Amino acid sequence: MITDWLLRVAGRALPASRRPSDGPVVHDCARDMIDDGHSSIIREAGGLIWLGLAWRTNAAWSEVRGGPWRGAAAAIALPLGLLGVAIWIAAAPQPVGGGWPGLWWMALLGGLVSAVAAIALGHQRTALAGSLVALVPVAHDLWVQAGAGPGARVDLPLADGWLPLSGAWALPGVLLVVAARLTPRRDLRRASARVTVVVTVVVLATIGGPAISAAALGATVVTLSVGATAGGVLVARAAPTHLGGASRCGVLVAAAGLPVSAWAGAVAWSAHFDHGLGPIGLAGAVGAVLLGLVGLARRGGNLSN
Amino acid sequence: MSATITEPTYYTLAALLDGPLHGYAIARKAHELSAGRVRLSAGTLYGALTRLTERGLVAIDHQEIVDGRNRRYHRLTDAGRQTLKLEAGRMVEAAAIVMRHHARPAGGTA
Repeated sequence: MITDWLLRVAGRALPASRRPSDGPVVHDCARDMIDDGHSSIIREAGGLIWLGLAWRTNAAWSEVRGGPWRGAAAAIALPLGLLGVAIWIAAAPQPVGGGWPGLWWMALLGGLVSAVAAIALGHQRTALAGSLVALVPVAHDLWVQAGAGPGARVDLPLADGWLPLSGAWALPGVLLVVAARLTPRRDLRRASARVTVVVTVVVLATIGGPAISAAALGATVVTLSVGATAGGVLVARAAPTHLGGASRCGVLVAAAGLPVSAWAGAVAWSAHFDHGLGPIGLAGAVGAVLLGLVGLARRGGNLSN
Repeated sequence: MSATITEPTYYTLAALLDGPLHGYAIARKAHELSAGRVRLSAGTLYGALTRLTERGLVAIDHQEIVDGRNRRYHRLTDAGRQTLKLEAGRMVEAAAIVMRHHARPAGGTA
């Protein structure tokens, strides 16, 4: 009686998807072994738990490995690039009109704008080149921060705080390079809507970004980041195809959350991150990535069983 | 390929040489063949059988209920038989090296 109960409890470790077909076979095999004195209850219960964990891990790994990552990366190329443009225009060295905006900032923004335009037009090589150029200032910043080279690290003023360039853009920048590499070639006429969106965002960010007051900008950023995260989760939960939709949403939420959370952290705490990727930005980034993975796992069927 | 076969896996495959067996019978036979060294629990055994099935070395033969208990029979595939043979050959060669060394008189120069 107790043996059956213990084995049944241990058998709960098996993934729900395999329980109906494999559960009774493994359970009865364990029962045979115990009844014949070949094994003990504890050993068999432990074996069942171990088997369940192994099957769950394998299922989770194949879900993640088999996810439509290429499609997801291609789908986020334009939103991610636009987000970068908007952030880095808003975080322009000030005053924009009267002073030298900074070489690294110009390289970053120039690379991003050309990458975004090329993604909208479906020109893969230019998109890749632009996103790589945008990574150069990030690499320089990391190099300087590591104490390996001369020069000053690149922190850009944003509202009342400072936004560390490499901390906020290293991971999204790498993701943008991957996304740009996978961007689908498009016919120019069909790309017109995307081009309009790009131009609108760039113009609005250029006009509005540096002029917005610190308090208004901070409030907008926090609202946007919370809204984007909540929106991403809602879309992930409602995704009609469990894995495809969730993967895309998960990656999108994580990608959008990284710079936005670093940005929101810088504004909300009005702090200067002395060590690049500050604890707030890091916590936000990790949180966003986890959120994306949870979105993926929730829709991944086997993962949540 | 052979290097990835662990001792429990080797004896699990070897247990199926004479024909299809159900889980507990495989575990018992592996225990006998290995002179008591390999003692598989149901969890470990079915984990191994799942992997071997995925690799095409073992296949499910049939399933039945005997005395109210579910029994799934597995059989060795041709690929499984071949892998087992290669692994056995490899072990014979590996053992021969050591045995030849021991057969030589101590301090001898060949």
